[in-house]
Amino acid sequence: MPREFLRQSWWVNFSIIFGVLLLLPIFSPEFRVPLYGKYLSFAFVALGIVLSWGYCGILSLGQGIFFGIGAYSLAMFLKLEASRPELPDFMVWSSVEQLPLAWLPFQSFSFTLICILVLPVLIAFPFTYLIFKKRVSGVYFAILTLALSLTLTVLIIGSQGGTGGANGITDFSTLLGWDVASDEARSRLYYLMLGLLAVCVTLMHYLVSSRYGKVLIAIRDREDRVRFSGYDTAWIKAATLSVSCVLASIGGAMFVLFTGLITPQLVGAVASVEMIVYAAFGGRVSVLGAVFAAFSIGWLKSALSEQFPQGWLFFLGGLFLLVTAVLPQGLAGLLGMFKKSPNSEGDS
Amino acid sequence: MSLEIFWMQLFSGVSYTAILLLMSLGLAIVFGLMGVINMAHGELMALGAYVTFMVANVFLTIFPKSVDTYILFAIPIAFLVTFLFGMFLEWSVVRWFYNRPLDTLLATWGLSLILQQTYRTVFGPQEVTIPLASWLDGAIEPFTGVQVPLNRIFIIVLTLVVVGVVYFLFFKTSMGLKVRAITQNRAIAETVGINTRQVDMYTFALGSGLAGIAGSVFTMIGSTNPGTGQLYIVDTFIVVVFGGVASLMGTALSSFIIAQLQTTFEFMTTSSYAKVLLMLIVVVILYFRPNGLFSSKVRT
Amino acid sequence: MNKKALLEVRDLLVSFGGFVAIDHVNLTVQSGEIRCIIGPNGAGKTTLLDAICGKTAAIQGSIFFKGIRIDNESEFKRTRMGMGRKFQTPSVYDDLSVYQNIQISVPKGQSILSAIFNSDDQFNQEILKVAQTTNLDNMLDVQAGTLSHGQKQWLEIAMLLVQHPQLLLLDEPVAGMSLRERDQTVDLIQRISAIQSIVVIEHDMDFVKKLSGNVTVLHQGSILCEGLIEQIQADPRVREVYLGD
Repeated sequence: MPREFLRQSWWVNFSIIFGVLLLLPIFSPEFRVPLYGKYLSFAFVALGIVLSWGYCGILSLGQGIFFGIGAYSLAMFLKLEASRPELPDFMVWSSVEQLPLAWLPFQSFSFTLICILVLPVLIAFPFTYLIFKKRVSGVYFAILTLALSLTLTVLIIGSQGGTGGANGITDFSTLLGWDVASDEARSRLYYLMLGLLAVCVTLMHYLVSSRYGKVLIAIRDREDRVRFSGYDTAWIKAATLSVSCVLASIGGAMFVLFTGLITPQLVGAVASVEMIVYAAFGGRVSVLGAVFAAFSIGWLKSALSEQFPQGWLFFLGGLFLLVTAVLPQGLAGLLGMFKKSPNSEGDS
Repeated sequence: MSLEIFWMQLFSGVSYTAILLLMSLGLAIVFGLMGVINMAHGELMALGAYVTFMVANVFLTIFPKSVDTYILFAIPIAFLVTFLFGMFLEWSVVRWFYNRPLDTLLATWGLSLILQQTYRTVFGPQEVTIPLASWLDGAIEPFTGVQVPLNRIFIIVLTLVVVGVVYFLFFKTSMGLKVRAITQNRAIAETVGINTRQVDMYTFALGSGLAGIAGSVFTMIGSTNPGTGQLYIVDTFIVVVFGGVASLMGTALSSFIIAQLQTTFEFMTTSSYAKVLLMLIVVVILYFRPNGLFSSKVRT
Repeated sequence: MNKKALLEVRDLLVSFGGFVAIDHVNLTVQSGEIRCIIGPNGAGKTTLLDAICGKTAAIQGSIFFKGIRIDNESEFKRTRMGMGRKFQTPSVYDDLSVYQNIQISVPKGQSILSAIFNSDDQFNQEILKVAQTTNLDNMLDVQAGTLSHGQKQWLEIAMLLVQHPQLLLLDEPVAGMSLRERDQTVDLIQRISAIQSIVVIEHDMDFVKKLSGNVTVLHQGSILCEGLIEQIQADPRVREVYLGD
C-alpha cells in the first residue's frame, strides 16, 4: 500500500465530499437530483483528465470524442429498447427503411457495455501510441485532438439517418426493463452512480499515490530523462490517456442516463475544451478537486443560464483565464489541500 | 476534367485560400516567434469583419455618394483596429503566458469565449451583411466559357500585396531582422540590446492585424455573426501544425495545400467526408514529419 | 571487430541539415576503461554522446554495444541494455525528492503494472547505497529542484548508478562545481569506475589529469588525436586547436 494512499487528510476530505453528495437528495426537490447526476457525470471525465493532463502533462482537447462514444453507445441501446419493435423515430423521419448495420449489435447490452468500456481503448491506444512514439509536440497534439473532435461532430451531424444528426438521440424509457426516464428512477440511479464514482475516485487515488503516479509526474516534467531511465514513455502515455478516455466514456454513458439525451454538441471541440476546465478548476492534480469542480461548475452553469443567459460564456471564459493565470493549482490549492509542494504529490 | 471546370474549381477555392493564408500567416508569426497559440485569433478576424461592417455603414449614412470606395478604407481601418487591439491583448493577457504553451492555449480559448459573447452583446446574435461594392460585381471572361468573378481577382491581388508587404517587413527591414533574431535565440537577442518586449508586442499586433484583414476579405464572401471566428480557427491551426513553424514560406505553402485539398474533396464528396479525408491526410503526414511538413532537423 | 570492446563506434556521420557535426568518427572503449573526450566548443563532443545513447540519429556508420549493433534502437532500449547518460545541464525531476528521483530510476519497476503494484520499500536498500556513494545520503527528503548545481549532478549520477549500467556517459560532470565538489566528484568517478566503464566529456584539464584515463581529442567533428593526457598536452596540433598558435 503506498504510504500516501493511506494519508488521513485525504480520506477525511473524501468522506466530507461524498457525505455531502450522499445527503444532498434528501434536502432537494426530486426534480433536481437528475441534474446532480448530470453534473457528476462530468466528474468521471474530469477524473481522467487529472490523470492524463494533471499528472502526465498530456493535453487532449478531444475527450468529447470518448464522452460521445460512451453516450452514443448507451443511447443507441436505450433507443432500440424504447422503440422496439419499430425503428427509432428519427430514422423514420429521415426515411430510413431498415435498421443500419452499425445499430444491430446494440440490441445486446453486453455489446453496449463493451463499447463503453473497451472501445475507447481500442481507438485511443494504437493511435496515440504511434503519435507519442513520433514525439509530436504537446501543442500539436492538443490541436490535433481539437480538430478530430470537430471532425467527429461534423460527421455525426452529417449522418442524420444514422445518428440523429444535429438533434441527437433522445426519448428513452427503460434500460433492460428498469425505468430510466422518470425523476424518481433517476434519483435512485443517483446513488448507484455515486457508488461507482466513489470506487473510481479511490482507484484513481491509489494509482496516483503509487510509483506509477511519480513516473507520470516525471514524464510530465522531463520526458527525455525518463526515457533514459529505461521507460517506454510512449507506451505509458498512451496507456494513461486510454484510461482517461475510458473514464470519459463512462461519464458519457452516465450523462445519457441522467438527461435522457445526447447531441453532437457534447462531443465537439467546445465541449471538449470545457471538460478541461473542470479538472483545471479543481486543481489539475487533485482527484477530489475534480469531483468538486465538476459539480460546482455544473451547478453554476445551470444557475447562471437561468438568471443571466448572456453571462455563462463570460463566466466560463473568465474561469479559463483564472485557472491558467492566477490559480494554476485551482480550488484545491486555494483551500490549502496540498500537503507538500503543489505540483507533485498534491493529491487530496 | 475539362479545362473550364479546372479553372472554375481553382477560383472557387480562392477566397477560402486567401482567408486561410492570411489567418495562418498571422498565427504562424505569433506562434513561431513567441510560442503562443492564440485561440482567440478567429475572434480577431471577426473583429476585422465587424469593423468593415461599421465602416460600410458610416459610408452609407455619411458619404452615400462615395459608398463604392468604402472597401478601400475599410481594409486599412480593420487592420489598424485589430493591430491595436492585438497590442492591448498582448500587453494585458498574453505576455504572462510565454513558455507555457498549453496554458496559453487554454487562456486564449477563454479570451475567445469572452470576445464572442461581447460581439453577441454589442452587435447582436444575428448575421450582418455588407453589400458588395458595385465595381467588384460581375466577372471577366479571359477564355471562352470561363468566368472569373471580379471580387475574386481583387482578393487575390490584395492577398499578394499583403504577403509581399509581410515578406518585405520580415526580410528587408531592421524590425524584421530583430524578429528573426529573437525567433532564433531570444536570450542572445536580448543581450545585444534588442527590446524583446517591444518586438513581442508589435509582432503579436501584426499577427492580429493580418487576421483583421482576413476578416475584411471575409465580408466579401459571407455574412458575419459572433461565431464567425470559429469557422476558420481550427483550419488555421491545422495549417500551422501541418506546415510546421519553420518558415513563413512553409506556412504559405501549407495553407495553399490544405485549402486546395479541402475544396477538391468537397467537390468530390460531401462536406463532412471531406473534412474526415483531410484530417486523415494531416495525421498521416504528421506521423512521418512530426514537426510539420516543411520543418528542418534542428539540434535541440 | 574487437570482441572485447564494450563500445565500438564505426565511421559515424551525423549532420544537421548540411552541417556535419560528426565526421566519420571511429571510437573504441574497452570494458573497465575511463575515457575522457575533450575538445574546443563546437567540436561535436555532446553530439557524439547524443548519437551513442540514441538522442540523435546518425546518417551513416554503426554503433556496437557489448557486441550488439544498436544504432537503430530507441533510447530506452539502449538504457535497458546497460547504458547510462548524464546530460550537460542537470536533468533531474525538480518536483520530486532526492529519494523519489532515485526510486523512479530503479530498473525493476519499469513496466506500468510493476509501477502500480510494487511497494515503496522494496528497493530501499539499493537506493540508500547509491545515495551514499554520491554524497546525498543526508538529503533524501530534499526536493531536487532546490539542490545546488553540483548536488544535482551527483543526483543525476545516482539515478544512473541505481540502474547498474555497464557504460556511463557523463557530459561535463563538474561544470559549475566548486573546487571541493570537483575533488569529491573525482573520488566518486574513481569509485564507480571499478564497476562501470565511463566516458567523460570535460573541459577542466586538472580534472581530466586526476582521472588519468585515456584521452580523445575531438575537433570539428573528427578525432584529432588519442592517448594519455601528457602526450595530448605535448601534441602541437592540440595546442594549435585550443590556443590558435
